[in-house]
Amino acid sequence: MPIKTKDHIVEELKGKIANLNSDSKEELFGKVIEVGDGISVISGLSDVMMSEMLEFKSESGSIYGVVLNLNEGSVGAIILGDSSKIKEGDEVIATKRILEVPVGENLIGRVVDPLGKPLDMKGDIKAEKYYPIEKIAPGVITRESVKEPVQTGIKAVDAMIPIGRGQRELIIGDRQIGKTAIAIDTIINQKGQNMKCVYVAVGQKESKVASIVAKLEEEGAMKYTTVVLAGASDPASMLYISPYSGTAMAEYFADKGEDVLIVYDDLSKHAVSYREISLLLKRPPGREAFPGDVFYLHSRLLERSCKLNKDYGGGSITSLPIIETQAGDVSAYIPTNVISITDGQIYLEPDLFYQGNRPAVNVGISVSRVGSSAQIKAMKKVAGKIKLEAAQYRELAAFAQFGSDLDEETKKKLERGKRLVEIFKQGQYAPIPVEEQVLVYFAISNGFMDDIEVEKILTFEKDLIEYGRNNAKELLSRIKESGLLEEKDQEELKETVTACKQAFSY
Amino acid sequence: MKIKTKQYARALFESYEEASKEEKDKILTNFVKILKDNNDLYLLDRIVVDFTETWDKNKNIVRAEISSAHKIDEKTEDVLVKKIKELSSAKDIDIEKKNNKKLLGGVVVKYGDRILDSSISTRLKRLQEEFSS
Repeated sequence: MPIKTKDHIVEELKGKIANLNSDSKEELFGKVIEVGDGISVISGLSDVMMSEMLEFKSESGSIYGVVLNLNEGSVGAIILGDSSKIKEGDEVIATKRILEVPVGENLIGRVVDPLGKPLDMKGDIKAEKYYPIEKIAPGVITRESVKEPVQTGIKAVDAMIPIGRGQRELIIGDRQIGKTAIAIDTIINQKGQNMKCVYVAVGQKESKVASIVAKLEEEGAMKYTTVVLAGASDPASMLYISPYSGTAMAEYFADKGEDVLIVYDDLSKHAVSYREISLLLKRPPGREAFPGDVFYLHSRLLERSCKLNKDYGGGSITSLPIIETQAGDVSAYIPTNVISITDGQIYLEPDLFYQGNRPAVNVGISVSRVGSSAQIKAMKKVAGKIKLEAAQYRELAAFAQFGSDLDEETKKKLERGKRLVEIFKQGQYAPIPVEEQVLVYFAISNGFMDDIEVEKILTFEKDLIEYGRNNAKELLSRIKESGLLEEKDQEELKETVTACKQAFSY
Repeated sequence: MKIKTKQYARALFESYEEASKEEKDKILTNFVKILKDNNDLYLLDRIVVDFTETWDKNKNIVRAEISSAHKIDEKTEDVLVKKIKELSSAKDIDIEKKNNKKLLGGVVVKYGDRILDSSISTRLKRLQEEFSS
């Protein structure tokens, strides 16, 4: 940018003044008849549109709202801001615009509220563009089947519940069980994977979000991540719009042909905030007091996740919605709704968690409806039987408790299963690259771990990865690049594992 | 069943319109009596509001409010009235004039639920927004 002299500034201002459209337009106006709890009832505004933005002219400046109800003689709206500043009788003007949020590259690395205003004290955000928060999901002709993998870096997930770019995979489980941890690990693992991330915190404790942001910052993940925060103390209206505005920010990148990962943490709180708004607007309550359109609330949000085909830029939005269940009850209203909308779920179980199997993924109930088409060929080859083996182990283990007389085959399966369970264990914030996962799974599924004691499996795994990194660098990077596992590669893997076993004398 | 203020207002308006000249006085007394019998006298304020609304709607009258920082001369007022009639296609206009120093200059015209804001203060605000973006 050239240095501006004073004359330039004056000239520019002159131009702006000359071009400013100062014609007054005919506008719609109404008056506040009722206000409170984040909602408002307004008289007048006879030609206002649904979801139109309203400007409340309060004494302490303008506050914006969104129309949600059109009744005979009155209009119901949610207030996006401090509703205590609005008085009865205040003027309201219809803006003839749908609610929009700033989008663009400048939002990367920032923490913003659902309206795109910065919350991280890093200065103003210059928006390149504005996107409406509500948009109709891409249609059939613009889409393509999901086939590229998202590497979560979590062994249990990448092997058995593969997630593809453009998929919607639900993370479901009780409180305090590691739902957010899976999502955050996935974000951390997207480094260098050509992925932009959006983390939408709906009704989360600000302390929790602060520690997440600090962690992402530490891992260098904020370089490609935007955090949209509607905290627990924000009004319900903010919580309600936050997933939509996060999606709008993601759509900007998807439209440019990039891949985006978006995490909604969590949609149960989103549904609760929508219930609050609906009840205050006197919409009739249905099951669990949720309004009738609570299914549409989530379906229209999650349908916006997609994989676009080449003609439409080839971008994608992968979403990881999170649902919190009460005492493991997956058959409550909101969980069943979201399960039926998404392309699969990762179910986390308290029992597993307290036994120390973390991440506490229940392999039996967790599924990915996209399946192995979202895995690289090498992973498909080594992990093909893993899910079956893990599921069989769970059944047998329950059965084997009754008697000790077991045939050889069953004993073998049990032993293999025990080792598998050990392999699935993984620390938080420690995602493992896919090629190293291939190495580990190759070792276990080909029986190289059967003669190692169960207690020592984790140390062996660590040593194996370490050994692979040092001695089979070329092989691993070849697997990573090509995604394939040729005969030759398998031989080399075999050699590596055997050599490692000898080197550490297991 | 509880009768709504709007229904009272409409009933009153319609019976007033239908009545002959002599009966018109009687109608109001009767109406108040009915309100008393129904124990609805406390609704009177709201019925008045609804009644004026019904009346305006049926007689095609539009209520307008012209606020300005300075007094408007008659000539300007005539122009404004003509313009409002044109925009709202109303037969009659009931004008209320207001003085508002905060506008600094220009006028703000309100009629029905429309507003035409061409005050200096709003224009300055728009200029400010333009510069800050």
